[in-house]
Amino acid sequence: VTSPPHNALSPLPAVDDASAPHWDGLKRGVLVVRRCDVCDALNHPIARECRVCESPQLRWVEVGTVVSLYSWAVETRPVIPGMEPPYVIAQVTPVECEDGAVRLVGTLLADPRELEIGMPLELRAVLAPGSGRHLATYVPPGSS
Amino acid sequence: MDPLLPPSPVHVVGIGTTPLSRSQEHRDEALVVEAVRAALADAGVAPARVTGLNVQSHHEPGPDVGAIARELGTRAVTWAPAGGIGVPGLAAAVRALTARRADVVVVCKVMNTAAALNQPTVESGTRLVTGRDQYEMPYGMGYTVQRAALVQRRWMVTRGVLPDQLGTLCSVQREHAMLNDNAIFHTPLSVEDYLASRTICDPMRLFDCDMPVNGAYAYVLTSDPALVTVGRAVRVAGYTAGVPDDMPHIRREWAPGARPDVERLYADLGITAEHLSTFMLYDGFSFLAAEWLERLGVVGPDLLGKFIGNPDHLRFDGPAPLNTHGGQLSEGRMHGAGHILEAVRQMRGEAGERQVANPRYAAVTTAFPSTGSVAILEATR
Repeated sequence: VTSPPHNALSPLPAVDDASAPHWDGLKRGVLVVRRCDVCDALNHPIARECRVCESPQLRWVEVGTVVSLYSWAVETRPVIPGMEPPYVIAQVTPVECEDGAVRLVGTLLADPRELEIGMPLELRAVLAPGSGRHLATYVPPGSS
Repeated sequence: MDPLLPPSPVHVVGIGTTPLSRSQEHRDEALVVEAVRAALADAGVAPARVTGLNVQSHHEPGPDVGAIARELGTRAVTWAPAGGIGVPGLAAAVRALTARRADVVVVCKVMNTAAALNQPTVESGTRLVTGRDQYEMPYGMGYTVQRAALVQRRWMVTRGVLPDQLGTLCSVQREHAMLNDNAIFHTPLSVEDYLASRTICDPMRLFDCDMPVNGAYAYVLTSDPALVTVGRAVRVAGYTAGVPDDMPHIRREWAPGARPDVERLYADLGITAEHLSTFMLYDGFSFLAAEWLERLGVVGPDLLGKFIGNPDHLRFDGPAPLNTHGGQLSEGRMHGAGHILEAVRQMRGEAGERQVANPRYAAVTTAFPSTGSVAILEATR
């Protein structure tokens, strides 16, 4: 669970105009999500309108590389082609998100016995095997 | 709900079921017709009186509702939407009745799932995933059980709920199933059995997951007072409007404790959680039923683990009778319909060996507590 579970068959994002800034951000090693022009709330990259004020005016913003752990699950079965179990599915919140309501899914590279809700994690973008696409993995601070 | 409105005039007047099965033995249409006929017979209502028909399925293609209507011999259907689930489906039928779009509505849930909906899709050959799934599938997440595992972890850690406490809830529901002839499970499930069951997606165990079954469950609703027999009719006292949601893990989290919309529902009905006699709480995953106890204000988040860890609390003869039919965990996955039918049996006093003493109000819930919905059914006895 401390090395990425992806292999040359693992799923990849079909990057389109609506998602490219997020995935291009990972290529630069940073998290890119959406921020509302009207009320300033951060939103998930998939958002079409603001979760707080419902404005459709969202812009892409970088929120750095530090997140906190919201929840996690350990997948032990080979249920997704190209994903080698066991692996840790993490939900993380960018520390810049004041109300904690933006949660991103990623791969957590750590011993599941040493995890705690709220612990800080650092983004470590990795190149998916057999592609030019970077995916988000997260590690505890100070990991090599 | 406007408190000046008269009480809801909508009653459940009949229920009907087919047996449940683990194999696909019958056509969808045959299952629906069998359950609907049983429900109409129970209601003492002729098929020709049916003006609303809502068939709910969980697979594609769904059943041929036109063929079902012809086989039943309905002649005057004016309201026939497809799909829906549990309490939201019940609420849609109540709205159709109060808006006079129909005066006798039959709702029938059919499960016959060779190929269920909501399977993750990766474009073959390209590995590519489109839409919202592109933010999850590349991280190995594509199934509801995985999303639910994330919600369960957060819930267990923040409430301090232990695995054996969830296991106790599962064990009590199994005891209830053993008093229900239609349940798919008939052997005991001990807490030890639960703890030893295999991991699906940690912290989710096998026995935390509901049991897929095939069959059909139907109920008859009416706004016609001439069809209401006091005692056997069960009134739909009220409901909250929830949103069925297969992405519960990314929705806004409610503050712990009772939900504002539930508090409003209680206020409209002039009741509190203490007036509820029995709890038919959605248990697609075991922790959902426990979380619903919290959302309904039955027990606070800090005490939840201890509460469900005592089997005496949850049994049909205890203070919070939970899923007295066995729930989806042990009766079978009828997607909210099993909970509605059991609430009707209990409010009628027809639940046999598992009958709750002197029930007045039943709480019925559907889907995840963060976004799901609640109905209150009231006895007329």
